[in-house]
Amino acid sequence: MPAFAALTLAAALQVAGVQGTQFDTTFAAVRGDRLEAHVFSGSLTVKSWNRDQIRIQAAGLEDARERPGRARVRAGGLDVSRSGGTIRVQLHPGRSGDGEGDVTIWVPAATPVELQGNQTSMTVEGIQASVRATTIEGEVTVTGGSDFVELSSVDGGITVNGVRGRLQANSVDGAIVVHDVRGSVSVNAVDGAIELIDVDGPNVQANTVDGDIAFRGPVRSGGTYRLVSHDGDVSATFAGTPDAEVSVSTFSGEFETDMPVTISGTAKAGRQFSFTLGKGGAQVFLETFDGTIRLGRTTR
Amino acid sequence: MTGHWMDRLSEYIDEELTAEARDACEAHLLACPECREVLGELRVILAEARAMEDEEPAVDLWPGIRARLGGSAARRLDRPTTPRRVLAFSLPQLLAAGLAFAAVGAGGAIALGALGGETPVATIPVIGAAPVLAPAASVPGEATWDHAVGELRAVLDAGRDKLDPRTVQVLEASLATIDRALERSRRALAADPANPYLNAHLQQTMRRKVELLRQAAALVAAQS
Repeated sequence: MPAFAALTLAAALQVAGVQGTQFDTTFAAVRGDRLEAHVFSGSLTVKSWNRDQIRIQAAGLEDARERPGRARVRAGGLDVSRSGGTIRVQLHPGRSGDGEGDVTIWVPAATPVELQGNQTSMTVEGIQASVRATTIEGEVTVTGGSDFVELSSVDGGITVNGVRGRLQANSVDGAIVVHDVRGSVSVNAVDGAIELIDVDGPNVQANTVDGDIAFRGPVRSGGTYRLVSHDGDVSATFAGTPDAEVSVSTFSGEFETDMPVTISGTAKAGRQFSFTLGKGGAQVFLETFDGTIRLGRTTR
Repeated sequence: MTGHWMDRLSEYIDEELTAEARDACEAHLLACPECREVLGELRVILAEARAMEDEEPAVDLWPGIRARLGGSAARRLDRPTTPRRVLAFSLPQLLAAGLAFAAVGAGGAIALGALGGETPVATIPVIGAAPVLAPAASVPGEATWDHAVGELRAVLDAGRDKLDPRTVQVLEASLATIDRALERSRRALAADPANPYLNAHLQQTMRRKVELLRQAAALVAAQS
């Protein structure tokens, strides 16, 4: 099957639309294919579609003057190849281009996706498999994803919606916004707020140095929920009737709640104390050096 | 050819290749981004490994283990009769060790022994059958963190021209954010040294700094 797939790709590349700064080709996908794409600069978008085909479209390339080869194509710096079950799409600076362009790729939804970029914004839509997206400068936006979704940007925000699986997201300078996730979540920022809304997982960890943290979702018995900021407010809104051991830590911040709690430990203002909600069961840690910690409940 | 030279990158780092092989390796590195990336990762891992303090366990567990083993089994494992064994790590093992460093952070639960000796890249001394483990509750001191920060900072400083100026600016701004947080934590801790939250918070913030520097060093390595 791989040999056939390589021939299919080669045939597709022979007729790939390489015109000036544009590129467009479509070829057969093979069950089990995975996508690796590296765009040095520009934008990289991956979308799912209901076809057993892969389409690669690029715009804004350096003027494409190279001929497609037999098993790969290089056009304006764009390099498309297949190796076994891996489709590689690369847009690097080099002799034939500056590595800049806007690349859009359509794949079957079950295709695992791994994206890399330097000055590249990334968008992934509708993938029902693992997603890994890493960029240095640029926003990362993902809708969908399952198994393990791992996202990273040094200079740019991360927005995630609808993950069904484990999520890990890291941003140095940029907010992280996570909605509608079923699975464990670990998110870290240095300069950036973190928003976790409708997150339902056994383990949730959010950490930022400078920024607010907001969490809304259920707490699962046996789960661990740790929300930590240095300079920012920390807000936890639990869905339903939570059963949790809650530990609150702050140095110069305050604690607010509209829930009836009995505090144990050092209950001085601005220190560390804990209390139990319901029957306990989950472990909740809410920490900020300097900010307000708010605990609430929602019926949703 | 990538596999051939990738297997010899540790020799290249340790300057154990012949002049001819070194030249060939460097020529290959110019043309092979994959090997350049691995080489950079190796250098980061080495910097982190060197930053790990040679810590002895706070509690010597051996007497208790020996008493429970008893008899000849214990005598066979007695440290005075067992030479310190040194394990050398292959490239994949070393990269895996890098992931372990990332997982535990500098000065984490596993206290690595002294580096160096005859082995090529990194070594972990093993005493008999009992690996040297620090107690899980051990907390790295500021010196350990400072060492790790110094090593990783040097990697960033040496390679900052390889990064986009905007990226360097963001990294430096975020490092400054962490430094401000550290300074505030230290001041608070000086006024309330027994505060468990402040102690834990300071450790956590130091770990964040090391992690950010590790990320920055990895970026440098990837661009090399």
